[in-house]
Amino acid sequence: MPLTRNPHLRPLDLPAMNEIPTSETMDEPHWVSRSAFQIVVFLFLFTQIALFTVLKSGVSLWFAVPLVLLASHLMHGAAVGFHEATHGRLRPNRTFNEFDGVLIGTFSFLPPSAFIAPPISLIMPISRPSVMRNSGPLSFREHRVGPAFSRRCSNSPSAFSTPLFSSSALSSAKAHRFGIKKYADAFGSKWP
Amino acid sequence: MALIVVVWSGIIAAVSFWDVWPYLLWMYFAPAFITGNLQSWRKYIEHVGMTGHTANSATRSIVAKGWLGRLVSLTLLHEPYHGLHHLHVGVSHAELPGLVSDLRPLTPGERHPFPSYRHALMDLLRCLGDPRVGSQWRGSPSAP
Repeated sequence: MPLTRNPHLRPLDLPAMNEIPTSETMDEPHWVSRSAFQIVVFLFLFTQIALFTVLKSGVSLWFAVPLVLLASHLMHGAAVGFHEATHGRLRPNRTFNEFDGVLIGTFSFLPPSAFIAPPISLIMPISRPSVMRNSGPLSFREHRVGPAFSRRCSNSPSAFSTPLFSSSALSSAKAHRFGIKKYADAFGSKWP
Repeated sequence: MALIVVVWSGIIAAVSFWDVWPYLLWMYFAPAFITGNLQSWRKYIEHVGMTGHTANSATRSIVAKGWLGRLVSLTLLHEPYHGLHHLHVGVSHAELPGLVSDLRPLTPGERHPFPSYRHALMDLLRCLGDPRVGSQWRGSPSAP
């Protein structure tokens, strides 16, 4: 597939609106923490306590508005965490990952199965060789964690154990990959 | 789903018993309503109008310069590095900023990262006349 731009789209390279970060900016240290999700949760908890205090004290509700906006942003971060959890990437520990996913999903009215979908590489096909290495067929862990995640939230422990321990998990993974390939072919995506 | 029903039945029962509906409104429903909007706006900013088939041509990424932008990025679990989120599917969110050099455009049509969501929003607004997403639209007639 050629790499030319869509001629029907307007050019979007106006420098005023798409300021190009310098290499200095790109290489500057970024704020990174493996505990970012925990930080978000505790900030949200403190915000809720402050919000409760404002409401309880009976002062003007205008004092609650900035706290509501802050809580909204932190809930947004938690929603991103839910997305990460469904990919099994929120927490290194699988149990914690599933617990957090179920917890966020419960309070946001979203069963985790709602987010278990074909890999992102199919929704957003990528062509770089390095990308294909990373976004290739799902690992065995992903194949079994995905169904397990949804079953655990919806049904019994026995249903949860099925994809984890049965020998059919591997064969179903192969079938799943075949299904994804058909999906990719149908939508013109590349698949190794 | 059963867990959701049980938990929320308990919450509603407790709120009714103690008659604390204003607290539920201000501490849950108002933030949740805004959160849904934020989520949708962020998603649209990151993708609407992008019709490439590489990560940098199909997404708008944000690489913030200031402390506020970096704090926003941290509290959104580095989601603003959105091209990397698609480029390195199997990588944990905490490792995405370390791969930021991959956001440098390499092919025609790829976009530089934006310094803030405000800049990316302005770019999105220019695309709303033809709000297509994904390379499957390339070559198809544009919207009237």
